[in-house]
Amino acid sequence: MKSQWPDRFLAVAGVLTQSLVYITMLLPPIIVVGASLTAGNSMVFPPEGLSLRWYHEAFQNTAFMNAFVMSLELGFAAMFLSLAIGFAGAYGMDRYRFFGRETLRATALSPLIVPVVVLGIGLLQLLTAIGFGQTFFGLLIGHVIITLPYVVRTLTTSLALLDRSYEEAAANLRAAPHVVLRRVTLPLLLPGFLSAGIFAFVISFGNITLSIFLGFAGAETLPVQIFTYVEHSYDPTLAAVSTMVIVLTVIIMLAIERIAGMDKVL
Amino acid sequence: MKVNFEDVSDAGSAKQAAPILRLDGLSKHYGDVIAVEDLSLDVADGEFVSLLGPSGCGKTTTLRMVAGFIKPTAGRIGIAGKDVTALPPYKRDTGMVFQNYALFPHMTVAENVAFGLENLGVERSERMTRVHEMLRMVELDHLSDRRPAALSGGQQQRVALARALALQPALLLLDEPFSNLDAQLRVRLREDMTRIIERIGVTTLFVTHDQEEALALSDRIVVMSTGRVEQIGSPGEIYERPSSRFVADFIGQCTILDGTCADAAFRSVNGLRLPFEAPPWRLFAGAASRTCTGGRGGRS
Amino acid sequence: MNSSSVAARGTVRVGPSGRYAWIALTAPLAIVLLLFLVVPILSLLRASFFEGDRSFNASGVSLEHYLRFLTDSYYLNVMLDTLGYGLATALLCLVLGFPTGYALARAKPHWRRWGLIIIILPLTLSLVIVVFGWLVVLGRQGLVNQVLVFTGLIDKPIRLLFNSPAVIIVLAQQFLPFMVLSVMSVVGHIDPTLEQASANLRANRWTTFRKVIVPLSLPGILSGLTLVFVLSVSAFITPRLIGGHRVQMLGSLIYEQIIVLLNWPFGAAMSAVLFTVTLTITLIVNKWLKSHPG
Repeated sequence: MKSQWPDRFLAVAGVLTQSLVYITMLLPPIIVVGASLTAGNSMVFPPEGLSLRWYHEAFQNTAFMNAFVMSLELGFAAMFLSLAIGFAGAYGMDRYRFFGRETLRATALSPLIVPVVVLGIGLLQLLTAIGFGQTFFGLLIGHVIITLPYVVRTLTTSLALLDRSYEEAAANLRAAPHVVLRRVTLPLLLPGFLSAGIFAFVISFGNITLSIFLGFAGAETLPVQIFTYVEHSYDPTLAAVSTMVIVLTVIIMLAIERIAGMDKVL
Repeated sequence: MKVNFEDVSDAGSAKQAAPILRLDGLSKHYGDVIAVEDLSLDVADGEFVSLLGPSGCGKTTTLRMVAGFIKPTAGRIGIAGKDVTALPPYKRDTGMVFQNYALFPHMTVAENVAFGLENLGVERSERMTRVHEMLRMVELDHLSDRRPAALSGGQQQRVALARALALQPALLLLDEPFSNLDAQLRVRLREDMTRIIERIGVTTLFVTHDQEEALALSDRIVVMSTGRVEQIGSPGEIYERPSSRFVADFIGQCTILDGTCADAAFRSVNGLRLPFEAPPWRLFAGAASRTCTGGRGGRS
Repeated sequence: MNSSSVAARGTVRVGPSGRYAWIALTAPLAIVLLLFLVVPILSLLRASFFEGDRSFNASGVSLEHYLRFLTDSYYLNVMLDTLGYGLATALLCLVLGFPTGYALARAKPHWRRWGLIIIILPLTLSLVIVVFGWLVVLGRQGLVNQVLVFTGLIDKPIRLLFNSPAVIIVLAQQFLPFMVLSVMSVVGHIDPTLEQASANLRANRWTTFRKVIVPLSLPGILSGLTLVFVLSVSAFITPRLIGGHRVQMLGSLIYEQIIVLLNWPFGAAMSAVLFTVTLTITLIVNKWLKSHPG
């Protein structure tokens, strides 16, 4: 038998590393939530007494509230567009073998690894050139591009896991192809649709890197508004706004988990 | 092996009417792989025919070609006197029970059974009547509002049968419907299903790898191996007079002896002598002409 | 029967009929990607060759921006620093992410679900909120300083922000989910009995780890490293907010050129360099992964 110490060391190091990882993951959001509840005037931890005054402050802040509404609208619009385009594409790639299929799939997944500055500048340039610079459309199309990888991947997996015998049974029961799609395929893909859609919404809602290039005065998304605020100063109002986003995101993620299981999305 | 059409029509209970299912030189190749090769078969009205063989013999491929899920490489398929070779699945007059039943999990039992009727545009009130009629037939009317997941395997199978028969198809297709059930349940459900099928008198094509099922249920059995038909005949014929070593080996319990033929008798390699005039045993020529194989039927 | 029914899958026709249905289905995706992903990248490459530093109505073909970038030691140093930060972030993610991903893959489903939710939290939360959280944690009056003062390790709060370790830590936290997920998915496919077999052959855990687990999970490690590296070198929000003016990365320089200085051609040239680097690395690793499956 070889010496035991490397085993012990490995076990202890493993436990320590994992604890560190989970703490680090949770730390920033927890600190923000904690700081938002302070009764004092500055961002310190632990907070100086508890109060909801900064939430009141946040709701009074029209810039934040407008940005919040803007982000919600953008998130929903991007989600629906991305789902429609992504599903049609994923369905086509699943059911047919055609030239360029793998290229299309790889391209649809690639926005994840294209540096956002590259995509942002390129899009900004193109949109300006075709007269869509500084429009909601431009911002929306950018968000569709960055949410597509998640939608295409999730729906591709759902389609691949779908038992074809359901569709065959429907066809055997005289259902024409469009009836099979509407009454069997789509309902059975519902969990995949929901998680893809929710994830697309969350990604769009939180995006800062692309919005900062494509946003414009009057169409600041919430993350952009927070960014501009942070660059100058930060007070507990920011923590209150951020907490609202954190709570919203966590609720949405738990919803995905309930509906489909997280492992299907990623 | 070629199917002899004269033999086929003699073998069944002599039906002169046009066949419900006619397969004519049906083949399916995947590149160099042969799934089904030159299969011809007529199934008469009301007949129960089994496709029997081991895994990979082409029986399921054949069934799926009949249903329209697989396009044949060559040959023609006729259902109820109509050439359906080029028709999509939803334009073929078949009802299929899938191996895993494929009950729609997002619909209730009644909605599952009604699905086909809706596609045919059957009016609502008539649809309801028919659905409950079918569910009563399989004795599941009391569970019509349940989801399939809340049913036992046996109940699911009966719903699948009711759903397939609700359209009154010309041809019922059964794809190993008993393979997902435990052994005890299997025999009971087999009897239930036969009773229903006999009562309705629907023509049935049944795919199985279980010789016992095939022997118990069929009017005729098509024994297949590596995409080719080995023998077509009634259960008795298949059992008593297997036409090849493969069939003898696959059906029943039999002893197969290798040996040589000489002096109007068969002599096995370990010395057992069987005179030609003393059945029950059959002789199959091996590939090498001087070697014969004797098979003894295992009837007890 | 399995072999034939699997082979049969390819010929099942359950999609909408018609020979060209796939065109109608995939056209919107293909068009959107072409117009708003491929064309922008190409137009960015074109812009990087424009003459002068005008943002609009620029024209001509010139290498001046590339020459400026490649001959000025300031930009070259930022470039090297950026690659260094990317590498450091990727390695830190590996050290932290491998044990976590491995444990998650082997965890009971219940634990795995909750672990996963926590791990991908930074991925779903807006980046700016995560960074804001770090500003509060690492700030002068932040948690870390408070703890350090309280335990007597330091007398008064020290500056923890605006240095490269802070940038690397925050980048690593942001991109750790990608590493954990890619390790997890590979380890999930390694048969646990292999490890038991190794233990049964008197290998201790360290040996098993070195000789069985690491070689088998190499594809996951490599794709995780690549993804984290590519994402880190492209970062610009984190270096800007956490690094301030003391830590410059290529992403934040580009952002400044475009948004603040409005010098699009030079920004485009720097983006093109960044894109070339990330694309080359991704392609090389993907090629290697394809030629060494498993």
